[in-house]
Formats: sequence, structure tokens, C-alpha cells
Amino acid sequence: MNFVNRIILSIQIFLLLSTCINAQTELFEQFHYAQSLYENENYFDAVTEFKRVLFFDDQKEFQYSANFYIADSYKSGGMFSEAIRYFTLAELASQTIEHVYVCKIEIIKLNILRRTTERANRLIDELLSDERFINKIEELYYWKGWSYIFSDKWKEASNEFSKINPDHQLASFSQTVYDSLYNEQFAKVLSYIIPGAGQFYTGEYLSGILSLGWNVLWGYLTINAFIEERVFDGLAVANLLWLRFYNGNVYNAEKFAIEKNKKITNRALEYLQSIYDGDKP
Amino acid sequence: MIRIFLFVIISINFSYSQNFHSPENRKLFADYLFCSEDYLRAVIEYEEYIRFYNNDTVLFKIAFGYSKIEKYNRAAELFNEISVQSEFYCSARSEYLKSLLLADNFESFTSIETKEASITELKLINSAYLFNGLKLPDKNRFLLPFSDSEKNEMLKFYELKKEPPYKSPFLAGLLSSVVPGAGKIYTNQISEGLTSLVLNGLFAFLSYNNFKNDHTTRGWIFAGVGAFFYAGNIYGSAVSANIYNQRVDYEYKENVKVFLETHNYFIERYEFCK
Repeated sequence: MNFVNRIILSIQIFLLLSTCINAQTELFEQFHYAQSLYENENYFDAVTEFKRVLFFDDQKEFQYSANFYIADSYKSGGMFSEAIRYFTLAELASQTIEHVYVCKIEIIKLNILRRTTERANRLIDELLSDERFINKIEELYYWKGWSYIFSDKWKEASNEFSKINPDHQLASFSQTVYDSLYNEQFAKVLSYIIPGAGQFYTGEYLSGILSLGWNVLWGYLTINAFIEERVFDGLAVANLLWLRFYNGNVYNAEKFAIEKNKKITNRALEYLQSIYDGDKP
Repeated sequence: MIRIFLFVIISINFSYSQNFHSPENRKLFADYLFCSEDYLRAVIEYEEYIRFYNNDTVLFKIAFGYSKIEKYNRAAELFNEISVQSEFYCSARSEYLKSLLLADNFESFTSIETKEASITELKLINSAYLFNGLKLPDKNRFLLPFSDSEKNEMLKFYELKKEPPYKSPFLAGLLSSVVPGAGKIYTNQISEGLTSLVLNGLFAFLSYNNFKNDHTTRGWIFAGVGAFFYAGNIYGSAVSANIYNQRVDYEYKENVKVFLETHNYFIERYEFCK
């Protein structure tokens, strides 16, 4: 090979290397462009551009990060099922055990958010029994507590947070919420025994007095009709009025308890969403 | 030899030299999105591509994408714009009619010329008769384009459209005025009908019994309540017949739609993503 040929060959090799490097540089730029869209909360376009990165990423360099960003963008847009799909793809592309863990936790958080909490609990239990994540136990208890919060099991939530630390902020908070909830069955039973008592228990005093008054009135008219041997009158008043008011009173007591409980839990969730500054799903 | 090989590699690399937003790359990416069923993003990418190159396949895919994301009116517009010269013209005509059906735009079928329509188009045009308010064609003419396996089901829908199994609100009210609750039983509300009968009977008896025993006031109260229940039962029976008829209409339309969907609106499936 003469000198000129060597020079040409060297230039060709140089060009080959530079085009390869150039392609990867452009992919990096594309990735950063997608990232900037993500950071500006333009999630729709961010997903498109990250998908473009994945499509042109022949060397599979961005499989984990692009899938992760896509999943997170879908999560921010409230598309939880799509987000889970892409976190799973990110998990499959993970190179380190830490990445696997992060993806699994994100999937758990999404299951909590979309209230498929049984699935979230199952995934947490799998991680708890996995020796690779032995040093993550406290965090797993933490998310299990959140899972119970989202399934309205405040007592169980408190227990989970207590496992991290008996004085954990969320342990005492969940216990307080649990203590302030009304027992719906108890409200019903009270109203079965004394009409209006269930309403009193839930703090609806006026409704309780009215319920008691109506039941006393129709009860008196029914009994009086039977005493005066007006059997059909008695049956009609008992069936059409007393029984209806009595059933209505029981139904009302339960409804009040459910409504009050909803208010209490909504207030608690609002607090967790806007004031609590720890990690949230 | 080595130099030629390197030259080819470099040429390929340069040709790929990646402007990810070039029209060619956009099309490649859009094809990928299309096959991943991310139709919205695929449509956006194809629309960018089409600004530079006219391509029948891409035009068709854009319209198809709009149909998939349930923008049926836009899809119909685009399918209608595909020219006669396009290799997708026939498919576009069928897809246009399908989009009209899916957009519940049955009025547009009245202006469609059937002389040169394909079998699939004729099937879709005849299917529209099952939804719109136009007079049904003759049974044989209606069934003509359908295959033997489709005919049975289409005949069933044809007959249901021609003579829907409605209940008359007037008859329901009349029946309930003669025998309280009978109108509700006529509209298949058997338990409600029996309850109405018992309640009306009870109030009539209570009223009669009180008058008989000189409890005039109570007699009038029960008579008043009884009359209220009696009138309510007549009105309720007429309403019940109307609800029954709405349910018949709803179930009929749902069944036709399910049938059309399971047969993919008589259109053959495309093989864009083989």
C-alpha cells in the first residue's frame, strides 16, 4: 500500500468513526430536547420525543431512561395504566438493582394512586420477601401504609407506619383519623333500638329529634288504631307511615355516618396532599 | 476491496446521518407509532411528513388514524378527499361510509350514489337504513349485497327496524285505568304492576270501610290518597311504556353496532404492520 492509499484509508476510517460518534451525539441532543420538554411539563410532546429517542436508539443506550421518562410523563398526565406499562419496560431495561427497585416502587405508587391497592400490597410483599431489598424494608412499610390509606384502612395504615417508628408522623395521623371515624354499623343499630339515636351519635341532633318525633307519632296512631280495633287503619298507618319512617330513620343514620366519614377522610387526604411534606405516591 | 466496503458503510452512515425530524425519519417513526397503535402521535408525524411529500398510503393512514382516535367527522372528510387515482380509493370509499356510520351522520347517506358502489359500500349503505329514519327498501333489495352468513342477522335487524316490538303508552294507560297495575304488567313491570294493584285495592277498601262505619273524614282521606295512587299508576304505566320503547331502541342499535363491529363493517383488515 503506497502512501496516498494509506492517507485515503485513514480518512475513511476517521469519517466512519466520526459519523458513528455524530449519530450518538445527535441522539444525546434529541434526548436532552425531550428532557427539556419534560421539565417544562409539556408531557405530551415529551412522550413523543422520548419515543423518537427509543425508535432511533439502535445501541439501546437510552432504553431505561427514555422508558422511565415516558412512564413518568404518562403518570403526570393521569394515564396510570400506560405509565405502568412503560415503568415495566424501564424495569426490563434496567442495568442495576437500584434501577429495578426504583421502577418497582413507581409501579407500586401507581397502583396506590389508581386504587388497585391489593395489587400494590402484593408487589410490596414480593419486595419484602426479596433478600436483595433487605435494606429497603422501612420504605416498603411506608408505601404499604399509604396503600392502606388509599383503601380507607386507617388502623392498618397506622400499624404499618408504626413499624418504621412508633412515633412516625403518619402513624399518629392515621390513628387520629381512625379514632375520629364513625362506626356505620353502630349508628344503624342505635337507630334500630331507639329511632333517632344513630343521628344523635353522628351529631345530627335536629334530624335525630325529628326522626324520633315522627316515629313516636306514627307508632302512637298505629297502636291506638289496634286498641280501638280499627285493624285496617292500624295496618295502613303501620305499613305506609310508621314502617317507612322507621326504615328511613335507620337508613338516614347510616347515611349520615357514611357522609361524615367521607368528610373526615377527604379532609385527611387533603392534608396529606397539600400540607404533608414527606414522600407521596 | 476494504476501501469499497468502508465507502459503502460511510455512505449508509451519512444517509442515516440523523436529523430525527427530517420527513423521511418522521415517516419511519410514524410507521412505528402507527403499528404501536399510538394513532394520535402517528397522525401528527404523518401530517408533518405530508407537508413535504404527497403519498397516498400516508394520506390514507392519516384518515385511518383519525378514525381510530374517534375523530370520525375529520376521518370522513379525509377519506372523501382521497382521489380516484389512488390505490386506496376503494378502501377509502368504504372507510368514508364507515366513518359516517360511526359519527351517527346518517343524513349524508341520502346523497350517496349507489350506481358504481362496490359490494362493501352497498353493505354499508344498506346498514345505514337500520339507523336513519328513511323508509326501508324492499327486503330482497336490502339483503342483496350480504353474504349468506350475514343475511340471517341482517334480516333479523331489518324486521326489528320495520316492526319494532314497541308497547303502546296509550294502551298501557288504558289498561291501568281499567285494572290498576295491568298497564305495568303489559310493559313487563310485573312486580310493580302487582304492587299497584294491591295498593289501589287496599286504599279502595280502607275508604269504603271507613265510609261504611261512618268515619267520613278518614274515608275521604283514604279516598283522596287512593285517587292519587290511581292517577299516578295510570301516568306511571304510560311512562313505563315509553321507557320500554326507549330500551327496545337502545338494545336494537347496540346489537346492530356490535354486529357491524364484529364484522369490521364488512371491510377487510389492512396489513400495514405485517
